[in-house]
Amino acid sequence: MRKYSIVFLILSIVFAQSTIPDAKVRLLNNKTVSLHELTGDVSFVSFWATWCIPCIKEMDVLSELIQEYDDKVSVILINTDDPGKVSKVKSFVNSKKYLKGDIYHVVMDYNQKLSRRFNAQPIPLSFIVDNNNIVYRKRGFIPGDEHIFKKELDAIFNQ
Amino acid sequence: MRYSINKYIFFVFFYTSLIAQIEYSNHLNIRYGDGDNNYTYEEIYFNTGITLNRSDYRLEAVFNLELGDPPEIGLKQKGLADFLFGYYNRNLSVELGKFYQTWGRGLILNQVDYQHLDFDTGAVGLNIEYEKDYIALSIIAGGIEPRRSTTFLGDYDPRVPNYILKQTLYGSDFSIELPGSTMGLSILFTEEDEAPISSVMSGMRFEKPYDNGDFFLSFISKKSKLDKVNSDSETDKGNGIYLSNTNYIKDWALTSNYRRYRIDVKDPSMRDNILSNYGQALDVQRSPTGYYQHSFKLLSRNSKQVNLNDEIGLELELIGPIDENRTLLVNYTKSSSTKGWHNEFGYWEPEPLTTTNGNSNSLFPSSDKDSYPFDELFIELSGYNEAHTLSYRVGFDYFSDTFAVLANSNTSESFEVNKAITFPFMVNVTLNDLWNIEVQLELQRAKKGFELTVNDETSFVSLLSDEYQKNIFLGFTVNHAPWSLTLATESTNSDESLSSSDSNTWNSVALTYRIKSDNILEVFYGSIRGGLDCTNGVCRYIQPFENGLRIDYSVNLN
Repeated sequence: MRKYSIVFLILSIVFAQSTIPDAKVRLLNNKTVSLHELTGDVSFVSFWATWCIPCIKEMDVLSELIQEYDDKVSVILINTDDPGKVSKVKSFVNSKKYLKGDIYHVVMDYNQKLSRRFNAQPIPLSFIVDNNNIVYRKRGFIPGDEHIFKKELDAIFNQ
Repeated sequence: MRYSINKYIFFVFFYTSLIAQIEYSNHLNIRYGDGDNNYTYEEIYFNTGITLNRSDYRLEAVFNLELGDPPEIGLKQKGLADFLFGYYNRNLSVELGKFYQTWGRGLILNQVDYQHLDFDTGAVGLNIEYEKDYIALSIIAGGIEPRRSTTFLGDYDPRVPNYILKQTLYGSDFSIELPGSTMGLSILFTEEDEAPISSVMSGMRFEKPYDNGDFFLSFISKKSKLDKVNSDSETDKGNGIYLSNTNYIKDWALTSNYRRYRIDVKDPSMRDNILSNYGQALDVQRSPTGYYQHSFKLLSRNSKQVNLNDEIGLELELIGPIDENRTLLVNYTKSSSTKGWHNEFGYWEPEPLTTTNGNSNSLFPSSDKDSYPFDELFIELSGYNEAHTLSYRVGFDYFSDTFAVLANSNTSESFEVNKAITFPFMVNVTLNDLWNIEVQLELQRAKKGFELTVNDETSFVSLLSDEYQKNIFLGFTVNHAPWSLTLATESTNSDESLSSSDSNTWNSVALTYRIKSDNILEVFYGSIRGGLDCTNGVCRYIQPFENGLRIDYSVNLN
């Protein structure tokens, strides 16, 4: 049994792949949509919270980078704040001009389904997604990481 | 031998033929710590997820394996910690195993897992959700086993829980989207496994967005019953209300929150006793707390311990951009218990509703010392320079908390208080494409002790050797991706938990290396000051870590 478990484990690691599930999610405005309705051809997905300073830095940096790609990259920000902090999330989103753009979608992960599926803690955890396939996955944010995002996005668009 | 090899080949063939449809995710986290004060831990977490994606449904299985011997905080664990099997389609989701569910904003049900506090209210059982067009239905049934470390029991250890409460819960939530608003109704039943205690909670909520803002209202009632063998059953009734309103004025937002929780109002002798109050708020209830969750070091340690059983509170928050590069945040919180308490004849009794200064805390929080008053004002300015090569956060925080009412009669008063003023500051400078530095400085002056009044003479007895506690935290980080190095020092002139021989300075160095995008190694050496650690109103005393090594390795194996 142990041998099979080890083979199973090795195979699952070797053949592991990751996509964005077509899960039903709730947006900040309380509307329910399918996650695939939000992801464009190319998307940037990030788990964040209002108290997470690196997450906010990443968002700010990303907003400048994204402009280089016109509206070709959609940004899905999956919020992990407690449900009691919804008003705080709304106020925060309202204070950031760029978050009101059409390419930004704030998803509320109230029951932590997405966080658990992607082992999102600790945050930020970010993905670059091409046709719902995760092509790049990164945890944490250090200033300068935007150069990696740019490299990855350029690689997709230059294919 | 040949048979065995054939078996493997068949297994691999069978298995890989499914690869096109099956997706795997694996995550490994290894943690190790060894401090001078016998603070050692070894933890391994392995999470594996298997998903079968079909065009019209999805099957998922998640397994969490855990080895903690001992863990940093919590009980020893070896083997399968939990699992979850799920079926999901466009309208229906069925989960079997360990699930987490939230209804509305959590006044009745908000299951959380705060690993760093060893606080997990996930239930093992069945979780069904159905959603179509304008309606949503949730049904749950399962068992929970939240655990805590409490001084009300023997063998108190801040790292190892000595109180485990097993409960069975089942209930349902229904919500409907009406034109321009949303309504929800919930009911939840609970039964304790080891005591004849049961409860029923019901609630409603209403949410209405409008052009420049939105409004939210939630009301719950709770009835608890203690069955007795030789006498009538006892019942305890409580209720809670939460209101939230946000108004937008261009890019600015003004939010006001109001809460009044009277789930289980108890006098000061019983208020904090989590063992004997059968009517108290359940651990699966994580109602909105209305407190600012700080990210600065000293401020997060000075958090307010929320009392969801008996609290009335207001929170006002203003946030908006001053200009293109600067954002201002002002947050004010005020709360108190719903009753003031007086002890004239050797027992506690509630003060009359109208208190001495004319205020009533039946509807609004009181400032009277006999009502556990709390006030906090936090102001923060954050922003960037024109070139966006420099970012900063500078703040001011005033904190005042009366957290124990020890005596209050016509001749003597005694209240335990904690007051602090804090100036946090952080600046981050990007030198070029490779180098980035960050400096964090926090200065705090605190006053902790007893405010006493005997025969109209007032005095203050400090818990500290000095009248004021002066805390300083300084952190310096150099980032050069994929490396990050942080030097930190924290010091105090006086602390109630330190003996004269203890050091009052905590120094540390931490090196983080991102081996790959989601493959991170962190090595820490030094000391960490202990104290209160709070997340969304859940607080736990964390013991200090002295002169030791910590290693944290986290990798996503996809």
